[in-house]
Amino acid sequence: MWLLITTSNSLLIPLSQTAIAAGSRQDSWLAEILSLAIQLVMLQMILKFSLLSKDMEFSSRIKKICGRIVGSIVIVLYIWFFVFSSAAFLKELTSFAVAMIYVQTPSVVIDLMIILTSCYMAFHGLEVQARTNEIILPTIISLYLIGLFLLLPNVKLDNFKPVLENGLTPVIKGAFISSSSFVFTVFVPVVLSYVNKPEECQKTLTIGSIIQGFLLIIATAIITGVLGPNLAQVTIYRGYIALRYISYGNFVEHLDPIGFSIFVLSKVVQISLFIYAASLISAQFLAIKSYKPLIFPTGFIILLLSNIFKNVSQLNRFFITLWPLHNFFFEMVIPLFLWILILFGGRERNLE
Amino acid sequence: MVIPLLKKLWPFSFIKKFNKNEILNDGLQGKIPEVQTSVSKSLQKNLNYVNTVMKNCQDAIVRPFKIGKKPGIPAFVVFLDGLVDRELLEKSVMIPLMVKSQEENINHFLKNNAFDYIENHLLASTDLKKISEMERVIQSVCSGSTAIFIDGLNKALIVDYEGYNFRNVEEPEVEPVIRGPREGFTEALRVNNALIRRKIKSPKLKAEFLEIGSITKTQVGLFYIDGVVNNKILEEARKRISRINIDGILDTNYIDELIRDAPLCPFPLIHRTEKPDVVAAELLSGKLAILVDGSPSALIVPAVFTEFFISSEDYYLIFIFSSFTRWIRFLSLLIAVFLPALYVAVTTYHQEMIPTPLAISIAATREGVPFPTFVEAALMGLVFEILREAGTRMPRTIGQAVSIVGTLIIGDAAVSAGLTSPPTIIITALTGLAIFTIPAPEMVITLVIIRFLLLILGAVMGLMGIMLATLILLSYLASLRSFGVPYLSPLGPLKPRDLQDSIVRVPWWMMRWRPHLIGSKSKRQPFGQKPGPHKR
Repeated sequence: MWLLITTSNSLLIPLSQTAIAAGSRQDSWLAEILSLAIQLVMLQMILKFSLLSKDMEFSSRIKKICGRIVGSIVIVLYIWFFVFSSAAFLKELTSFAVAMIYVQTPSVVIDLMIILTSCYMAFHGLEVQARTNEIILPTIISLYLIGLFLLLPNVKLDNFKPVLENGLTPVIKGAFISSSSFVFTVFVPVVLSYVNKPEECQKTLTIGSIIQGFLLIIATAIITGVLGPNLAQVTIYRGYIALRYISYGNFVEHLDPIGFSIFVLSKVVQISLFIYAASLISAQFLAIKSYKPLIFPTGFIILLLSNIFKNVSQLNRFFITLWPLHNFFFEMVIPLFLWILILFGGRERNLE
Repeated sequence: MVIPLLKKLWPFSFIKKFNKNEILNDGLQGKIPEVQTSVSKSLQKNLNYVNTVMKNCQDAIVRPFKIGKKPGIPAFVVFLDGLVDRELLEKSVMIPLMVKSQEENINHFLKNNAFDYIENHLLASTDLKKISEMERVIQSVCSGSTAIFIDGLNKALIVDYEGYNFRNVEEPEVEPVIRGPREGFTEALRVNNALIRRKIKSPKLKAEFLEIGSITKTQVGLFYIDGVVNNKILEEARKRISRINIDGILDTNYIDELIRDAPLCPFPLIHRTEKPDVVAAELLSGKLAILVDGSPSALIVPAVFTEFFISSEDYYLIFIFSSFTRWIRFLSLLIAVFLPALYVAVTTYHQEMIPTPLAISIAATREGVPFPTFVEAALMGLVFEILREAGTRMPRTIGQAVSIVGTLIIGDAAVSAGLTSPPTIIITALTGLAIFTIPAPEMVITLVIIRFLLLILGAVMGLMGIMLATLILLSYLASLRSFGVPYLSPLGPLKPRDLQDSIVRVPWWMMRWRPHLIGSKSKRQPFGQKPGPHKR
């Protein structure tokens, strides 16, 4: 079994997503707290479910639970999820880069470089990715904290008032939208059979998601405090814009490339893990021995698929409308469906 | 009928199937008329054999003589001139056999059981071997021993009076230290062996010797401490070394390239050192050392990435200094690899990142420079590498002077001629200096190559290119292994306990464990060794 320190997987957690401000304005930090609670519940559920049959490969487990035909449909849905999500991430990253820095570069070039990098990382397999992440994760978190810390003097407390201006509804809506981006829960069951100490997952993953939840809460609060609810809601790249407010002694300023680096690092790692997951499930599904031949085809499908989003504003709108539903379908509906099948289908015994 | 014809027409028939067990023609077997495997009882036969094998080896000396009173037992010695201390040989072999055996009382013994008496009473040698295979006899003669053939005895007596010259034990020039032991390995394996033994005075220190190289028959020593070494790694090392089948081993690098995990990897996967104290320290942490006769550098396996940024001096200075210098080295690593690429990326793509006054002054110095920043940085980097290489190859006395003059003059002239801007010179100089803080020369060259690749990517894609390249580089490093140990080990799979001796150096009383994946589970010292005033 592969040696995998599962904490590194907490990198999957979106560090740069604060789409929350789209819904709940100055109370978004409250929404993030709520969202952390929802995420933890989701995580416990998914772990309970997937630890039931931790030694079995993902696709054979699904087939055993649902039978051949329904099982195949579920597996194909999972593959779709990983491919489509990476396409959305890719488009997000590319459009950001093109809009902010590489204005004259054709977006295909950036797409291609990101996809090739991610494919290379995915090619090495889960263990190497985990080891890489163990170095990248502290780097990202420290950059993140430095950025936030430097922003502190710019926070205006007036921006948080009045609390709960429009009642609880926007807060709850924001919480659900934010927690839907916790796509990590879909990834865990897929790779769990390759983790050498699955029992320890529960602890490390919970700690990891609490840490990322707190980072997200702090980031949301600081960004709202710096930009104010109106600007925070309107701008697309809030964190990036907020970093421009940093200025110390006319020398430490314009640190937005740091935000850009965090964004690139975390997104590329996410895409590479998703490419790995997609090609791994496909290989299991098609009964191919190795996932490696499938990595580059998957990468290019993602590259092509990312073009269904026409522009940034469409993508951004998608992220707060359809995307949460799409994610919840995979984070909640399918696991619940599988769980119900296990409980009432009498197939529990077969799993042991 | 058809198939042989097809076989002849087959265009690739000249490619022979590669045979793994193909016996390498070492030029010896073909020339011997009759293959004589064991030492004969007849002295004449043996003499003929030796003369045939040693034909045209004019440094081989064959000296026939007789033992005892007339008529005496015929015998001869054979050895290679220059490898043997002749004076010692004469004193302790020739004089007893030729002169002392003339005495009356001895003759009596010689008549009854001659060989026993010669072996036990006449030959005053501490190290005496009896070998009956002819080939092994010739082999040991070639590696500096002396063989004595006696008529009627179907064995050859091998005595060791090696007396060739080797370099004195000196301080190695590539690993200078301010504090700490200064002795370094020489080219003779025996001396090196003794140097290690003097550090570790325990029978647990094991030394296994192998002969590798079908022609050179080089002695290769595998050193480890029993009970401290990880047995899996030891087995793996033994397997890999015994697999080697090559005509000659002239340096440890031959072994390195033949046993490393990733044959095409540019990073050094095996640590090298010329200092016995480093070898002893690494052995104590559970690693293995491989020494080769004829090379002053020892290989240490397995190696991890952070190890190449550790100098032996870190253990001889107080831990605060050594931790601090380690951080300086890691910072220099970042500077040496990333600084030129970042400079080019920032000045070409992200000018807004530079504080305005600085941006203006950089722009002012760049006025009139005909090249883009990338060309400037790449050219200056290349010039620096040329100067560095020239400085190394030149005779040591003028090397330094030339490289200083070259750098100063070329740098100054390039700026005043308007070919390059002062910031680029500063960046290049800083990068060049930073890389010299890294103690392992193998790592330096790799990092220089990576720096140029990053420079290109930084010029093509800016920060994004550097980020993506860093990700690729990191995942490549993470995919490497050295004898099964992950290359990024204390960081890659994070082992918090092993950080004690990688990114910091904790005081000795806190260093209680051997590296997790490398050594065995035994502890280095018991708990509670923290010094302090005696409590009453």
